[in-house]
Amino acid sequence: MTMKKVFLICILVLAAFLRLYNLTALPDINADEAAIGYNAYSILQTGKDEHGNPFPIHFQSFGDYKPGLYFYIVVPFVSILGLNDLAVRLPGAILGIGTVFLVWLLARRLFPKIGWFPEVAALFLAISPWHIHFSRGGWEVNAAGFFIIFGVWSFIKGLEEKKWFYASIALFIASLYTYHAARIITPLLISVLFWVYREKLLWVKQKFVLQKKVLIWAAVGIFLTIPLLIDFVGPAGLSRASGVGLFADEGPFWKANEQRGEHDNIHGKLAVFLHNRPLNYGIAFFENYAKHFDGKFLFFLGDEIQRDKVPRFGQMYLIDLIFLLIGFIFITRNFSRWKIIIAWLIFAPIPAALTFQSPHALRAQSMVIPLVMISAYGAVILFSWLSNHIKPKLLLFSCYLVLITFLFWDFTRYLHEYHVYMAKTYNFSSQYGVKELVEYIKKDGEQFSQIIVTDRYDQPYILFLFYMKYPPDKFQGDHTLTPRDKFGFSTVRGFDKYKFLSVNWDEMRNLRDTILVGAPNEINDIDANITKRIYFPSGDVAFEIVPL
Amino acid sequence: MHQVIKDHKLLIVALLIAAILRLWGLSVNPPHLASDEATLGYNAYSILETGRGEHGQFLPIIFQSFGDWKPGLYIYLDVPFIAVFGLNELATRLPAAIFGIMTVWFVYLLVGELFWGKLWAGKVQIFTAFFLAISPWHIHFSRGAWEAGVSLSLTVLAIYLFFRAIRGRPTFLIFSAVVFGLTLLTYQGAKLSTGVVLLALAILFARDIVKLPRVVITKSVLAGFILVLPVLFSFFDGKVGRLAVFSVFSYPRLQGDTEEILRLGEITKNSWQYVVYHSEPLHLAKGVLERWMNHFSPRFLVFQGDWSSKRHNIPDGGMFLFVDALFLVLGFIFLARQKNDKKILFLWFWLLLAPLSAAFSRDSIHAVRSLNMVIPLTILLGLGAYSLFDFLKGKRTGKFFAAVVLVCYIGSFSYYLDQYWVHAPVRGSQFWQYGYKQMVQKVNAVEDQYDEIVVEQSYNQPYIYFLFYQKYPPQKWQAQIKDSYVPSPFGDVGLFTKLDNITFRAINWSGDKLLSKKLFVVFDNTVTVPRSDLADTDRFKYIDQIDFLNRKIGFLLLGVK
Repeated sequence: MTMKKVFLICILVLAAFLRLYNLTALPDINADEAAIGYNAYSILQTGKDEHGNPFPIHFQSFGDYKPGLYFYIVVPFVSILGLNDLAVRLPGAILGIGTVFLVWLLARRLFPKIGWFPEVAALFLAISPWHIHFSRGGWEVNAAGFFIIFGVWSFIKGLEEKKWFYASIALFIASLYTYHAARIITPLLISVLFWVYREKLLWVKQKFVLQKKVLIWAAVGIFLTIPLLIDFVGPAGLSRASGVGLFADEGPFWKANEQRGEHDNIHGKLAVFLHNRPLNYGIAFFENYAKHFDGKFLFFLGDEIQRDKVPRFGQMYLIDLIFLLIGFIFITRNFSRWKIIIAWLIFAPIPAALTFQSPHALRAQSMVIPLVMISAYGAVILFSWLSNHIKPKLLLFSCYLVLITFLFWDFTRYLHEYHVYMAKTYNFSSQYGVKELVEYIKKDGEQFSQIIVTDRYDQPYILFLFYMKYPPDKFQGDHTLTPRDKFGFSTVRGFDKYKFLSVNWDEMRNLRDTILVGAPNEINDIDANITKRIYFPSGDVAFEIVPL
Repeated sequence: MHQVIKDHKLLIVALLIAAILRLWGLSVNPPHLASDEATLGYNAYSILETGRGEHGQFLPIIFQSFGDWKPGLYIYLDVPFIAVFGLNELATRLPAAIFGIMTVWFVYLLVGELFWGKLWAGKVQIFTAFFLAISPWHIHFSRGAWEAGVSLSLTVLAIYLFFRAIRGRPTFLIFSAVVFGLTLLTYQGAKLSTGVVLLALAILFARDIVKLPRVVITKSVLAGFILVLPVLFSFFDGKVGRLAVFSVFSYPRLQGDTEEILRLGEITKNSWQYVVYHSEPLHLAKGVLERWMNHFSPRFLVFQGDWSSKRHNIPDGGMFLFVDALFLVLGFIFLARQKNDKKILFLWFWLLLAPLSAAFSRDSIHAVRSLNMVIPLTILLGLGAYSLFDFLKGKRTGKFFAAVVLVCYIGSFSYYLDQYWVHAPVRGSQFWQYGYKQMVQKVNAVEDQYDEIVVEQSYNQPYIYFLFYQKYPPQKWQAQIKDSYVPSPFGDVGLFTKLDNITFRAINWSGDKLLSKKLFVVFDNTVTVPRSDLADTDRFKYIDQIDFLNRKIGFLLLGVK
């Protein structure tokens, strides 16, 4: 066992600890995770999803047609562990830990000669805020990231050992079935891989020859993608594009109108040529894309969506700023080995930029792999430069100490913000309080014939199903989905004796034999007989419960 | 002479383009004189007529102006133009425009020095000169009496002179020192931005400087030092209120934010968690770093520009053209691939440190205080363009791609021109204090019908427009300024309360409408005058209103009979 191996094992243990510690409780299960868990449970019990579709490729869920592979990965966990928080999250965490190991493998394969680089890259991914965040929870994107990096590594390894080359098809295809963004990133990455290794794959003695192994690879790949393509032509594809696509935002369109309005002749050739929808949407795309490289996003504030962020923290550590800069400068001098990683970095934000919410840490999560590798490269270069140029031992040691202390401080600051502040700062980032609410209602709601729950927070019905382990066969036949709203989401307004509505106290106060669960301000009568309040971690009131 | 023109044909073309872009319609766009411009013009007029600044000091080096103590070189540069063209917009803005044009030449010289001895230096020189000539950021601050633009121009010249000095012309060091000194006499922010440049030069080129003759070094240091002495004095004199107002250090974290951190974390200000992770200095340091990063963000450079002010760039566009993003990246790659000689290191230093004075200031982004960035970034553009065209040269599809890039570039530049000439005036007129000129003219036409004219007070400094557009005799103003000027208690910009029978004060319409024989000039968005009062023609006379260029109401002129 060499030093490096020991170090690697330590890194993996650290990665596991950071991803598994308090996994079930922080943050609470959100609606999407509950949907994954409950649908997996439904598949396990009945072979159909919650809405009764047999073995779907995309799960209809809230009308957003979630890509299905992660659901199927969760199925065995549900069957062993039961339907609970851990079963939904454990696969994600394990794949996250696996990704750390794969970064080590990939770094070693691409750059076998740079000292401690693979270990540092693995360490940086192990402690990466961006990667930890989406490893802790049932996030499809994280699973897709695992398949992509595994696919890239086995593709390269496969140049020497055929079996890995074939394995890479399965892995790349798996990523397509796991997450939307992968459907853009993976094909682009595959083309770059073929281009970079064209001499080994497409050329024989300087002549273009379609080798048998490449043909098999492509044929199997296309064959396995067909079900996905067929499914995507249906409502699954449409729902996604219309809900979150760039064109769902009318901003650029109105901007063109405003701009034309400022011309004397609003239908003049110039006004029409310079201010039109294609141009403004094009600019919006590039602007969205570029936002993913903004220092504010990467190092200071992170994503704007509360669910995807930690307070006062960027997607990376502050010191990564220095490492990345050095890394980039040296990559320009040594570009040929970095082609794949740089291409990956360039492609990764494209899917997010095609949607109107940018920057988007979740959809662009794949960026974290190239960024961490570049940062690690910069760090290795900086450290070796220091050791070559600073001769006095003590001074060298203090330089190391300063850098490591700074990183360590930022790392503990992240843990502090994550474990102490995240849940308390963002009330609505996850479905906090619902678990307690369901327990309470299960206990005290028996004798009531109707239970009305506020629809203020995301999709309450799925969390009730999830926490109550409500029999899927009963639910499948006993509910209706509402029509989709403008973002493409539907919900279920009720099943059994549960109803999910916005609570109107003046109308509902006269109901009988009912438990009413409202959000604060919904029940606004001082005389209301509130028997229980459920709180957010911050101490703010989440639910007020009134038996009528 | 013919030979000179022949050798520098392309440079001359670049200068011509620069001149057209900086001089064309200079008095009508920007659409109005900002108060800072007007005060420069009027003080120059005052110097011309009386030899004194508006506050009555004889040939001051630092002008008190609104109370912000402006270093005065711009005003002196403006004097001859005022003498020739009279007191108007064109004359006020010309020095900035002319220095802006000359900067194109200076940057050409500087690039030649930076890459001296490199085969590609000549081409990069030309590319850079062209890029600066059409640079939206640089054009913007050449059009309008921006002291920062002149200061930048001098900085570029001074750096060139410095490099020339260490490359065989030792005496240039003295000129360099003098020109560096002049930047401090031009612009407040130069203290830091020139300081950064000097520091980088001193560290990187210490060995080269030491090799120069002692006499030259002594003379240079002395010359520079004597020149900036007045600025240093003013610094110790307490005339730094402005600095306190703009410095980030004057703005601690909001009380509420701190309380929430303490409450949610269940800690106190003495807990180790607070000290290590949340304390005020850390918050401040992060803020500075964040501001610094903001100046390298695509949002600032390419897409949106200075989001803290509508006066600092075009709407719906950044400090650079869209297509420049490509050249910036290519330029970065090209520069990163070069062997690190000292001059290239200097370029890196300058690029990284140029936004420093903006980073230490209140606003999250600031295109004026970070203006010096435009030079290293434009050099990156030059390098990027050179590397792209060099790469395409001789390639089979090279000409095709070059043509595509060129077409995109022309499209991008047309977009900029449209934004600057059509959209910027409409959307930004009120931020250029549009309306005061028109208001002064209208007041002049009717003022003898009223005892007193009451103009709503504002930090837009309405008084200066009366002085400027009435060409008010400076002697007369100097005689009454003491009674008019109310300094700010914070040492920042003060206010001026009256000029002859014009009073500048807050207007309270419900009380003021009971007075008689007065003319009121109110800002429609701060004072609401009931429309029913306008109909009451027995007591009030609606004289006129002035709209901003976006057709929103700006001023109302109302007479009380």
